Amino acid sequence: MEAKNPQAQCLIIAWQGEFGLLSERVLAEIEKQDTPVTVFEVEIEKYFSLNGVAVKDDLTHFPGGELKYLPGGQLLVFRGSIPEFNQYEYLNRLVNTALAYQVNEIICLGSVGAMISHTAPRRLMAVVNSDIHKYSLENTGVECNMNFDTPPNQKVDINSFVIWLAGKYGINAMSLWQVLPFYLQNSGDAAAKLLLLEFLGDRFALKLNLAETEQKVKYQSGKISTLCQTDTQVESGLKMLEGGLSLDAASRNQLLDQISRLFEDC
Amino acid sequence: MGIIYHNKPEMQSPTLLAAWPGVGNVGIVTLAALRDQLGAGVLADIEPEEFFYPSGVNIKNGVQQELRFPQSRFYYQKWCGQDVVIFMGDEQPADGQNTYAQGSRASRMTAKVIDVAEELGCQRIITFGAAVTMTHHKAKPKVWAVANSKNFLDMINERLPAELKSNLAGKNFVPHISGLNGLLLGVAGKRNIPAACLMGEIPDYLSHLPLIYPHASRSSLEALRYIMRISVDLFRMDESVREMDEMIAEMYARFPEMVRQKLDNRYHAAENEGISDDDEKWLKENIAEFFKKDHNQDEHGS
Repeated sequence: MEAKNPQAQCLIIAWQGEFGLLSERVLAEIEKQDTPVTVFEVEIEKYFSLNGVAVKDDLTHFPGGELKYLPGGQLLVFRGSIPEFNQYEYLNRLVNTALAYQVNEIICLGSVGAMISHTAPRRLMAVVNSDIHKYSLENTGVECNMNFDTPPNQKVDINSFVIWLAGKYGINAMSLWQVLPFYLQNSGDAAAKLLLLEFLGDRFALKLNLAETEQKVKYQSGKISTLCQTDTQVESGLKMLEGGLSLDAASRNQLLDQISRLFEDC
Repeated sequence: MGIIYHNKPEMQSPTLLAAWPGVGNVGIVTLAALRDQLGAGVLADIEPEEFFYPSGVNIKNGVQQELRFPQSRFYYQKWCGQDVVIFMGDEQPADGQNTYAQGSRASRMTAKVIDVAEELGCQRIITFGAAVTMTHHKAKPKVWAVANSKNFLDMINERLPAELKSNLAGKNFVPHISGLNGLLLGVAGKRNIPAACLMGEIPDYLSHLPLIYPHASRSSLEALRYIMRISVDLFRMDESVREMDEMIAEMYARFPEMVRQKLDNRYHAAENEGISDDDEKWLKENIAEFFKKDHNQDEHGS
């Protein structure tokens, strides 16, 4: 007789290589504080061309994906690459497994870079797959009021496909993302990570120890303040961003480079 | 996962006419013109998510309202006493950057179309596409018919007037009908349904451009008129033919003089006995070179 799967509250999905690796870092932190059990690994030859290997910043990136069950938090977590083809089959496997674990919700995490300053408050934004599900975000601080229609020649985000598919199976789902300062792309954004961990911790009653992340937020902010005192270009760049102004390409690259080097060893 | 029927009218041995996008969009333009002329209504849709990545999303006040996919839709109309089912696919279910479907998704899509054909009791299937030949844009395109059974091919050839019959017919050519417009014939054959593909000729020098070629669609529709013995108003397509004529003439005038001369000569010679291999090679190279210089864009036929 087949063993019954334990119940999971939610399936949380993080796609590899998203801006600032926010969702991957968040799931890694949740996994670290639990005892993950592998449910399945994606058979990559079914979904990726494998005609070589992608290289970014002199590092190879090989596709993959792994779904894990976290017994402590009663969560399913998936970290994986966005499939190149057979997307439906790939996503269907995830959603079907979520059904087998009787999840109530699917959350797709995401992040985008923008010309904002790290001193601006982070905001969690969501798109949900039903009006009813929107109510569950009341009093959580999550903004859920976006209007959008795909312009011609723009590719649809994979998370739209996931939450649509979840809806077909009657599962509540949301795409949840944050806008990050572009210059924290390489170092990661500790404040955004903290906000997301707090949200997930509250929503699923996770007993997360956030002390290390809180410390990192202070450390990141302190280091950038110190740099501003010694580097006028960084200071003026950040002041412009705080004032809502944008930077030219050269200043942008310089700021990204300086901040990345600042946290190189972290 | 399957077919969503919006309607299920009573039909008697209908003919299924099918097309997907391809070179010059000859097939799709042919069937779009016919569908509009017949005023055909929506019959069914093939559920798209197994085959296609979404093409658009609509979000209102934070709630995702709709996810749009390319359509694979059946239409229906009774015309001149015959039941006609029209199938049109917005896209071929291809992987990555390929224009044409292949592999398991291609096979599953054709199987779905044939499933519907069988369920509706279709007695024959005709698909539409393009034949890339050495024809000239000033010449009326001919139509090359290929079928999965000799009886059906004989019937078509008997009904097609000589002026519409392609010179490729019966020449023992061993080319390939790319994508689903061709694959459907093979799968239909396996299920003992007579099927044919009508391919309107398109000049080779236009086949790589992202243009429609309504001239070939008009000829295909004319061929269908003879084969099915139905009345179709071809003049409705004349306006788009005229518009495209102007565009092609303008582009053709920019071809190097020598290329134009050779293309004109080739057409007249090809009508008799063809041109030399050297001349053919020279033309291919020079036309490709012209488009490289003139069109700074991808050249995918569709």
